[in-house]
Amino acid sequence: MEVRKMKMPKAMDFSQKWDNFKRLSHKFSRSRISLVGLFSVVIIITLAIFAPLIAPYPEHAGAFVDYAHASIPPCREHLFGTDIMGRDVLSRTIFALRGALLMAIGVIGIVTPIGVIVGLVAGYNSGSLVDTILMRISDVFLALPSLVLALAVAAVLRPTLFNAMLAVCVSWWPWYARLTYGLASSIRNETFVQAAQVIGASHFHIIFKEVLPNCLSSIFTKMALDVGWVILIGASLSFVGLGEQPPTPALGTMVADGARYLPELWWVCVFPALVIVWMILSFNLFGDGVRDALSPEEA
Amino acid sequence: MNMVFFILRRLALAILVLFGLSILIFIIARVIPGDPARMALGPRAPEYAIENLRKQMYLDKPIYEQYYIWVKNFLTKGDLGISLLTRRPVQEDIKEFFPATLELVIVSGIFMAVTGILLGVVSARYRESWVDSFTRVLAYFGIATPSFVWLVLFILLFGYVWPILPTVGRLSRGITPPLHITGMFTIDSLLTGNWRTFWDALLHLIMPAIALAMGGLSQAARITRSSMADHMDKDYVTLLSAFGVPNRSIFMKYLLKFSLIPTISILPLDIAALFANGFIAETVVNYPGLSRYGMSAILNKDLNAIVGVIIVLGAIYTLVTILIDIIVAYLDPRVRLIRRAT
Repeated sequence: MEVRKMKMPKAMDFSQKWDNFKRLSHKFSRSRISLVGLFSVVIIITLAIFAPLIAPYPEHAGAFVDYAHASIPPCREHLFGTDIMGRDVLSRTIFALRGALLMAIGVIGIVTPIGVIVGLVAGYNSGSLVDTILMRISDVFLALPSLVLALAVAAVLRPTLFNAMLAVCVSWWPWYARLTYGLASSIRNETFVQAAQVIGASHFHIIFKEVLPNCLSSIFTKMALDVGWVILIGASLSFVGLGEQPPTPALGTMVADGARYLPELWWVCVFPALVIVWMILSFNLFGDGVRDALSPEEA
Repeated sequence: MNMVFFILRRLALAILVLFGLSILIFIIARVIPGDPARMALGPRAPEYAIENLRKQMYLDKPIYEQYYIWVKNFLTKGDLGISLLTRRPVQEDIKEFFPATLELVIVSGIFMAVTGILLGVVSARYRESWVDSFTRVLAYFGIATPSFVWLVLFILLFGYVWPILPTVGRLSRGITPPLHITGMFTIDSLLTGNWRTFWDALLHLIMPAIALAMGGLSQAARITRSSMADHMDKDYVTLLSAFGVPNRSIFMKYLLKFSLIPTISILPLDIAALFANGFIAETVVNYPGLSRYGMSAILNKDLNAIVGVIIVLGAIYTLVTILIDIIVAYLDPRVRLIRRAT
């Protein structure tokens, strides 16, 4: 019998991808509130990238002291007022967006591949020893609220933005592992996976070319929804001094420092606090939009 | 029978997970750079004192041996070691600080559950009303705002601008703590009939409790609303009203029970997570509870205290997850049946 080389179906070409993208963006833009989120997210990212150009006093983002202009309430020159060192709170807040965004990008960028691979391997081999070991390990990490684990790890390491990122990663990867595990362990029983097995496709091929593409929309949804949470945990860590160190501005640190001068210098802490809320809110709205666009069942 | 087996299996797994957690946290606490004994005694302490402390804490032994000693002491004597910060056994510290945090978590949890479910139910019942819009806006903001931000804003508003609530501690100066019965000031003062102390303790609880509850409350309201709205469109509701069952009893007898299942499967976990969020909130208002103790242990690298607090929190959290499964199985017969089938 002649053994023919099996031809794998080709991946989508560019025009198909473009169509797909257009369909998703149409679904996304049907909700006005998601568009508000998207718009807001774009503003935040722009502010963070071009902070030195946009901030009215870029030099105030570092170790800058000007006691002559200390503790000025919000006015036209200083929209958010100045702190006790005479630094412009608005400028520092704009620069602090960078740390918060880096935190979110870093954590999700590190956690997604790790969690997804663990979940895929465990889910594809579900019921085996590998599955048991990997998922029990992730259970251990899930036995604590993520904030506590992140605090404990961050406290052990030297307080820097990168280490805070690592600390959040330690407590965050199991969520991705668990999500992918659930998807993978059900997808592996689908007929197309069995077909690939019968043809003799390698495990590597099946895991990454058959199972993974079918998990992607859920994973992307989780990533989009997680940005806000990571920013929240990052702000909490920097609030207790376990994030970016002064003089570099961090939103949580600014709130914590400002809280010491309540109620007289309320602007030092209230504005960064509101910016934290604005940031998380925007990313949550955006994430909701992504979820609605990617979810298949739609009336 | 099946249920008992299920619970036993979950408990066994939970013990395994807690063992894993203790190893994890033990390793984390032991890789701290610097000498914990030196840090505890300060830079001027003589070498022999540090040597003594190191011996006393078994820091001169390899880490697996330290872990073995720790587990043995914990399992045989309930001994968690000495806190470097308070110089007392960790288990006694935990016993002392736990009731305060438990009290805060209970008050906050009750507020979270009652307000969250109520808002969700009312906005599902009166869709597109002002309550519904309010709940939607609150849900977005509640989830997006860290508890420490709520707390800072509350302190500013209700502590300074309109000073009606105390901003620090558990009791005002000059008020003597009630007789120690449960360790929870509100309950103890009620039991001893001391109204002034009760009122004062309650006032101190309000701000941190509400700040802690906001996140979970918003989530509960959102989930309750959407679940209830889904159920209202189901066929069985149409059928019941076609039979002439009054709306009120459809609502109370059928809708409420089924549509609260998603909320109930997430709410207890949110309440258990309050212990964790308390780490920061209790520190902000200087509330002398377990979470603040844990936070100061973490910041001061107090090894035994870190391990002790985290194991206690892990145990609570794990038990709550099991509890949720049991409650949900009780409420939703389908879950029971599926379990029996598999």
